[in-house]
Amino acid sequence: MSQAPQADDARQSGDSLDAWFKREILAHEDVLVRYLSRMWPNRQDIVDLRQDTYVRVYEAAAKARPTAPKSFLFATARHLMTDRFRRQRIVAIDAVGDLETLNVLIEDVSPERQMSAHQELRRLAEAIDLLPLRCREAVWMRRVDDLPQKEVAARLGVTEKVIEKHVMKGMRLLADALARSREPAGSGRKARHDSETDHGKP
Amino acid sequence: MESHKQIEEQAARLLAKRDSGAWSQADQAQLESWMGESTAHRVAVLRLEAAWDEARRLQAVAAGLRPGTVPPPGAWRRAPFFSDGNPRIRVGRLLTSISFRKERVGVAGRRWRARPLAASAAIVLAMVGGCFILIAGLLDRGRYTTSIGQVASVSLPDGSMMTLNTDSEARIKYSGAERRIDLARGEAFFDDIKDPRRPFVVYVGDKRVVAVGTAFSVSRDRRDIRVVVVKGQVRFQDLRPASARMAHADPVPHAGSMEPAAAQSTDVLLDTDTMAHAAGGDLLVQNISIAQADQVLSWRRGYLTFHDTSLANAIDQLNRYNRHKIIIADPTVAAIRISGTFRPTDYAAFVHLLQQAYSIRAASTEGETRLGKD
Repeated sequence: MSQAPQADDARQSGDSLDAWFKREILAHEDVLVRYLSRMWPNRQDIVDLRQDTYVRVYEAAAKARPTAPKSFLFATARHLMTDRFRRQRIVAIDAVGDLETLNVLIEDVSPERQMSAHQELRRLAEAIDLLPLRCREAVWMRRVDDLPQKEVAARLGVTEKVIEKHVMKGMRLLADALARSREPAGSGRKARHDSETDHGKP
Repeated sequence: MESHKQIEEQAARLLAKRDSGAWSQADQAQLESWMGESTAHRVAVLRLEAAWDEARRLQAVAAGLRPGTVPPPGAWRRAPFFSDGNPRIRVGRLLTSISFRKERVGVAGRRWRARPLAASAAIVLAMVGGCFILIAGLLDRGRYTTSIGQVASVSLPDGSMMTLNTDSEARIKYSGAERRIDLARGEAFFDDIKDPRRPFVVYVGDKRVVAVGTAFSVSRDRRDIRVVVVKGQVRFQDLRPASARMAHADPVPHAGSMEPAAAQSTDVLLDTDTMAHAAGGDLLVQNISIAQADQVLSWRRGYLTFHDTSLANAIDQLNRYNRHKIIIADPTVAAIRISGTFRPTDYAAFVHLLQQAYSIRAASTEGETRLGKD
């Protein structure tokens, strides 16, 4: 892969680093979060681990984009956890041992993620349903109906500032909900197979 | 050091402000410099941006809903749009009756392009002491009719094209929220529908048909409604209350591959190259070939095309174009199958051809021609 342009070229080329990052890395957030959750004993650290993983991946990709982004993402996450395990002696040895099974897990939780457009829309619909009612209404009118903020405010009988707050909250919750709802519902997905696939190894 | 939570909050604050529309160059500079401060800031922005962008795709689901009406949570679960399996073929009780029904002259076409980038209606919003009044700009109304034998195209106030088949009537009522067409009788073909954000909705009997970037036709013959989609998709919705729909539903599921769902369906997404027939609570959706679509479209060029069509069916279609009616007095004549292209208004030539080709006796009075065996 060629040298990546500097980060601030975001808006220029079709495949800027930012666009690449969204498509190749952020798209795997659901799997990443599940992976981190399984490996890491403390739930409250997951968001930090996730974001730190993103930071590492982004900075590495700014120098040279990995050819296998998904594997690189999970390898990065694993290294990050290993580093932390070493620093935090409190963590049980068991958890570290678990890390070795990582490569299996990556494959298992992520069969080729080719959702149909249909499934994608359903996933979105379910994500938006998780928003608090007022927030959901505001998000819907702004994002789906494309109504101006002013009009949304009028319709909901609140100030524009309130709508902006709803949007602010809505996009955060949506980002979280999207990652959660992408989890396989049990049916239609390949059953877990404990093969010796090599994904995730650096 | 700031936590990721704080970073995310700041990222969301900046993006929400950008989304609000009140976004100056200084704001943009602030966002960029904030993103430049650390990669943690940048990835937080990218992550929220990606989710926010993705939410826009729900517009596909919302097509046909009046902007500002937010469907209740879970509403989509009932929509067949989200049902599992292939929704393309739905067969209701109507199947048997439909296969013996006359095929009315249909409409279809291709090569049309919808142009989604058109200005939406101006909505003037007035705030009066905490209340608000919505004034729909560009309120357009009109009534279009064709007489028997006439086929006409009109450009609607928004630039969309409507072609009316013989003896048809459509009423137009445009508001800022919806472009409403009531098809009172006959058949209409719609094309070049602009402005995807203002729903283009054809009401026909107790059903409605919502365009999603589309060329399609709608026709009605008393209770029977037919929709042909030649480009894009349309949503087909039942407007009757649930109780009325259930009364038509079959008590037992259909056997074999037939889907019992059709009778209960209130909202079906019709794809390109499909034709749907509905009567009451029953709906039949079938895929059609380009040739079939061309055939049902032929009326728009001033011809009727028959391909191995029963004479009864052909004459039914022909009669729609003429005050002078052709009546089949003998059932064996009705079963004759014909193929060809005919001028629907020239019934005399049609009758003459029949007499030449088959041993058919025609007895004409001023108002009708009766066909029987020699």
